[in-house]
Amino acid sequence: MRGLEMQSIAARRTASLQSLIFSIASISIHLKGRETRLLRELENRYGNFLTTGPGAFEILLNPSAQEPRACEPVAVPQVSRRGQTWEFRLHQARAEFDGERQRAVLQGALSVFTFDSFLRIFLTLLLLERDGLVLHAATLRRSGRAHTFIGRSGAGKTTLSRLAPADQVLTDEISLLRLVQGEPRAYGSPFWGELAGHGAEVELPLQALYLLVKDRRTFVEPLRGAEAITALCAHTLFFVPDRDSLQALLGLCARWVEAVPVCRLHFTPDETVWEVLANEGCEAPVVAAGPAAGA
Amino acid sequence: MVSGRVRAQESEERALVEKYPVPNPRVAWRTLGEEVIIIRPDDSVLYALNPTGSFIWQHATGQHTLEQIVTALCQEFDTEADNAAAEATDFVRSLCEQGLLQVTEHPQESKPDG
Repeated sequence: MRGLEMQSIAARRTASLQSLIFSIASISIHLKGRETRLLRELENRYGNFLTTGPGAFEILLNPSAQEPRACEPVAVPQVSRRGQTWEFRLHQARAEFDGERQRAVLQGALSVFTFDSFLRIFLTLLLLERDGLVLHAATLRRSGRAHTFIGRSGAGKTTLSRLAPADQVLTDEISLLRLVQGEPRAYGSPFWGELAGHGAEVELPLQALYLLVKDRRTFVEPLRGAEAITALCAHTLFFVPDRDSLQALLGLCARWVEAVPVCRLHFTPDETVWEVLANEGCEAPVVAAGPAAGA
Repeated sequence: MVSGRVRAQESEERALVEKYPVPNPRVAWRTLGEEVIIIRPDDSVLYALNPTGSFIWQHATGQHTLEQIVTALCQEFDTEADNAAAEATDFVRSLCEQGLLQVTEHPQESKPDG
């Protein structure tokens, strides 16, 4: 009897692991697969983002029998589009996303690493259609609002994040942002850098975007509209080289610049950063009227 | 004495000013005030043009020769025609080399898609 009960619990556990639903940046994703071990690893990886209810998007995991190779140069991901179908070529794996059915199939030598790579790229597509950006940026919480600090590796994202209490850091590497009814919002991110956090699904109003520049003193410098758009586009993760998608990205960055203050933050890494931000603030770039798009 | 190389450059410049520049249809671009931002699709490199560069870009519709654009540029920016022509030619040549602009022998029939 006891043994049967144990088997039953194990079966339920196995069944529940065939399917995971998580929500990232308020986008719910239903993950399905038969590889219990991989799903369990993904459950651990994205545990703070698990949710219930129907997923808006479905990802079917279809791992090959072949184990991921331990040591191989990582290829740059490639994304292409044919109508409503997106193809992803990843390190040791590939995926296809059917935009009409909102369903993706990921196959190959799958691992948490492979899935993580796919998810980053997948989110760039999903967020672009929801006025969202995936940015090379750290996001920190301060007095109930989010502040996003943009910069490539070495710009000071992690340095600045280390100055904040751990529970105030939404990410030190990849920030997820959306305009919701025109209001800028920042979300918890599962994608981290050196701090190696796991993040959690939270949503905060976004105060401002700061382009990081290491300097001998800390001060805020306003940006022109074109500078702000260029900074945003240059730090947005984007993998789709077709013209329509790039045009959509430019238009979206322009909307962001109108919706949220963007400035350049010259900083020396110490606690005075927040004092300067409180005193000097960050004003919205001046955007002169002009033709909206290159059309 | 004018060298053959200088003559060749002048000849090339004259040839270019008679052509019709037009954006490569694969690039994405956007005007913001007086500035134009361009993204090259092959490598997602961003370009931000200054006001005179933006002026040339916005008039590069495939319906005006570079010479006509330079004339308009001189009126808009109050600059000398010779200098403007030389700089505009360099600018257009540079953008063509980077795959952002194309030049055609004949005007395009309608405004390009962008």
